[in-house]
Amino acid sequence: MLILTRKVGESIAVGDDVVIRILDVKGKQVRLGIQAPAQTSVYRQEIYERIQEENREAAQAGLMDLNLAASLLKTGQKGKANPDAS
Amino acid sequence: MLLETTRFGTIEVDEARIVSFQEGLPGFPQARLFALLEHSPESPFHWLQSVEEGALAFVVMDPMLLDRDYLKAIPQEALAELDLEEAGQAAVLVIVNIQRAGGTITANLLAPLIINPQSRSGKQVILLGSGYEIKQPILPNGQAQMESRS
Repeated sequence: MLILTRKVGESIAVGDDVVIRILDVKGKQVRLGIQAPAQTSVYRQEIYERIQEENREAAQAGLMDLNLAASLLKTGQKGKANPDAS
Repeated sequence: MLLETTRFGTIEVDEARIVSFQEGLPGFPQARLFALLEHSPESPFHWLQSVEEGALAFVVMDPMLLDRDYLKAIPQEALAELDLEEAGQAAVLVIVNIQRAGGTITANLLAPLIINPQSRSGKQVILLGSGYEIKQPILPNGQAQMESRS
């Protein structure tokens, strides 16, 4: 991991297209501004990790799991899978 | 083309219908090409089978079955990246997580797969701030009592 120390107002360039700017520091909270091309996804790390983890879990489904799920869905409700969330 | 798969054995898929995820999927960055397979005519589920990895497949479903307004949550930037102008043009799927041990079936409504049906390219997008759940229960009572087999 590359470790840099920056002051408020200073920036970090990542590659040619990404700039991260330190906007503000309040106690333990740092506010960052991120400039990146539209096609570069920028996410809070912990959210991205949760999605990765969820995908990995979901990838374990086997044929039996799906057959059970589909039959439960049929017996559990007629028509739609779930009423619209209120 | 012929695909070797763990769940379905050797299957024939139409190359023209293969979807390409340029960045793979979170957790599976190398898995770029997928074929969408039917489960059964009455089933809302489909399989998204990896072309490169025979053992890798996801259960997916149409999120509109869970929330008719789902398309409204898809941001313009995500659509533009796939050369789509509006959400109605996209094919949208969500990954389903079946946990037999806990007896739950959930859909990841927070991170749908957005696909351009013309170009057959897709991306998993995280709908930040949408309020959608990673584990949205599919059955109305939130839980399925699934008997554990073997």
